[in-house]
Amino acid sequence: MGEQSCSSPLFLAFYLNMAKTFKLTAQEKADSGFTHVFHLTHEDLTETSVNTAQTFVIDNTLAGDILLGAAHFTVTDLEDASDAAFNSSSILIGDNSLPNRYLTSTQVNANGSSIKASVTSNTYATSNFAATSDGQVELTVNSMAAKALNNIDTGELWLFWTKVSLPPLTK
Amino acid sequence: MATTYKLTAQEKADSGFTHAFQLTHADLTETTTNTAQTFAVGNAVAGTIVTAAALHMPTAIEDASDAAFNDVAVTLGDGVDPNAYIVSTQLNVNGTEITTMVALNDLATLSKAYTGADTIDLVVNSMTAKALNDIDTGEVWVFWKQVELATLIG
Repeated sequence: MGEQSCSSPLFLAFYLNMAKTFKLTAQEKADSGFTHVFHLTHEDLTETSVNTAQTFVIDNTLAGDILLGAAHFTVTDLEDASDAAFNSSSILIGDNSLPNRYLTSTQVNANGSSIKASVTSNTYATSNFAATSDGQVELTVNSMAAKALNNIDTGELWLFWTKVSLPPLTK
Repeated sequence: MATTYKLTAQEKADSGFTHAFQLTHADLTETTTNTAQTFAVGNAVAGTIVTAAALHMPTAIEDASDAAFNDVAVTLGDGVDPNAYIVSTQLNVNGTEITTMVALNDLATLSKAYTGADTIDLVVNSMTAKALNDIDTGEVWVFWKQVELATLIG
């Protein structure tokens, strides 16, 4: 997982056409309240086993970091254009101990009941997380029975979250 | 000494918080046992909203000569609701201390609009037979987001 800072993350991600984590610009932070974004396209889905999820480590967290929720936006639904029966690809955002801490199961498959945008709906007691040891933020893309994620040939998602590191504020 | 800081514009943009308060062991002066000490860390005038809070402890609280002094919990709130922003959080290294904490109350409790003046209070609790002024180690920071809406108009 590479965390990059870029004044034009959308363009760079499009150019590279691969999953990337970016820090939002100061203006984007001020406008949105989010600090980081991850770009996923169908090409990042490489899992060849059927009914098997693929997990992306989209950020690293250090002791003293706090995380304050997440959101997702679908530019293009995920789809296997040649298989309408492949109708479930749900996503979660969380961590090792609670994979849906920031975003509960959200359908993004064009042949299911896909959801264009979603935001954290857990209570703050669940979704406001203070890291007391190092960890990770993870995106999980679930598959379904008899289908493998690498057959998805269409789709683009953006995931957003808010991470604040408190120790630098105590200097 | 106990100090409240306004964060810089850059720190505000990076963190979402607007204010910080630093507490060290030297600020704990309460000599009566089992008695809390309250620090008015901020002022909320009518028209102020508070929407976020967190805590970070670079050095755990401790009476280095008394391991039985194992309970120093803090809350952050105001005169009406002492734990509106941060619920009871253990800071004593001889207890089960928590080094980083973020507001866990839900929106209805955590986000508060002040229709009259109040103070934002950090309450440091003690325990039976122990007095806070014996704490000789520790440094704690609390952060919160406070906006005076009246300053945004006209």
